[in-house]
Amino acid sequence: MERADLLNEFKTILSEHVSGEGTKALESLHEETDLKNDLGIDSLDVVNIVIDIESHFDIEIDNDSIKKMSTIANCLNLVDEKVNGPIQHRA
Amino acid sequence: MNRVVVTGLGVIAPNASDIDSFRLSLQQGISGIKFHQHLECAGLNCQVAGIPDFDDTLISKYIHPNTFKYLNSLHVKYACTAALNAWFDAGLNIDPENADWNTGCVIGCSISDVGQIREVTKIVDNKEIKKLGTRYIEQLMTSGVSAYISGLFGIGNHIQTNSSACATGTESILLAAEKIRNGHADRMIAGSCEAPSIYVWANFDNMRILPRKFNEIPDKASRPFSSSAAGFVPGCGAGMLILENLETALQRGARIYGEVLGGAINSGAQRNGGTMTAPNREGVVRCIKQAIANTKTDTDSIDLVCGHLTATFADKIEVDNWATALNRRKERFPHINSMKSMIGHCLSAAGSIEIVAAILQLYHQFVHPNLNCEDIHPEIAEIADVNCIPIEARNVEINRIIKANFGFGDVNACVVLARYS
Repeated sequence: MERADLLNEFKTILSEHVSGEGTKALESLHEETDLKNDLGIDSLDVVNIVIDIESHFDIEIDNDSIKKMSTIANCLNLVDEKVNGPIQHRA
Repeated sequence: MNRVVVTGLGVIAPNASDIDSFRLSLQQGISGIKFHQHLECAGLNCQVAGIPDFDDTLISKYIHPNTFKYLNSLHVKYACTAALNAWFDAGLNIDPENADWNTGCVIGCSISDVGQIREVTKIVDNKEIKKLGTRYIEQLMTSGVSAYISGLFGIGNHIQTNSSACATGTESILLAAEKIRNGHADRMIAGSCEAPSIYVWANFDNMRILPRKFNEIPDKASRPFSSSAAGFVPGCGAGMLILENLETALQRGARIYGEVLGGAINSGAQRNGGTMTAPNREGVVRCIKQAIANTKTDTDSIDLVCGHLTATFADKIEVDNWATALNRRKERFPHINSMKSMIGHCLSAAGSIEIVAAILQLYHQFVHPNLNCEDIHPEIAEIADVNCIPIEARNVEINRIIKANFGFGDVNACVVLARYS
């Protein structure tokens, strides 16, 4: 799955968890967008997002990985590796 | 010992959802009891209830949207809305950055929202744990309501949730007042809440303590003092008070509605006639007498008794208990009323809503009417002169009110309130 497609699908998932002032940042979502500071997502929301990601992509995300989910890039890297395999092994 | 005064009031009641409307409803004797289709659909024999006409717009402005989206527990929403109204009524602001270490809360509730508990049990029993997400737990924990209020206002003193059945609301106000009286806090948010729940009310219906013959005339269903009283009408809502140390209230120029002199909390121990559901009369009388003694009240100075008086056979026993404890009978009996004739029995929210009503009567100098007691029970009329039981609002001088609530488990709470001077 291409990175741009991942971003779009992730944006759809996020739209269920972002409200209020965070919706502006969601509209212009990019790799550096910060979940907490830009989207207003707290640690409990992150777990809800993980549940949706696991269901949507049919993957499992371990607890240690959740701690790394601070920016969109971190999140996409995590999903990318689970869906497409380790990034450094790709041609 | 510090003096404790009331500087703010908030209410979500079956007959009003703001303080001005609530005062008018009290003065005009407006009933909030209505027929509810969902009670009929659920198969309850009693299909009337006191359920507030509620709008959650206010709290949506103060709770983060991501949290608000998952907040489904109505008792928490009622409590937060009433607390916000009380806070602003007291002329206070919310500091979004800093903790207020001198303010705490005691918020009572009988149970978490059973609808939410039902959702969780269904999900877990269906082995769909992932569907739980992360936001149910704060609504399952009984202390969820005071946790929400603590976060809403940024208050960092003692944050407590109390639960003592129908004595809960009066107990929460007494516990909170003690924190200020003893110098442990300058200000407390005190009150209680109850969600509408067929899962709770169905139990009372099955115990045959709810009225069954008033489904077509709901505003006649709640009949404290009456010969035709047929049981209590279930109700819900929230009442909140801002209690403050008199000194700090005066320093900031706050409006003072009245003073909480103190009171007493006890149990009849389920002995000598007391059971899980019936009070030991000695326990009730001792509680009232202890409240009188603790507040150094001359019983002749009491102008109004705001009773528990649920519209069951126990009303006449309660009136007799008051007469014994106050040593005032017949024409010497003070004015007495029961808010339950207008809003039903709001269970854990009853005490706090009724104390908000008591404070309003104290501040605005009136006694609210008792609805549906045109046929006062003859045994009650033997104890208290019928003139003491107003059926229309009376504008009279009210300097001191005694108020009590009694609950399952044989628990009692009694508070004495005074006009501020």
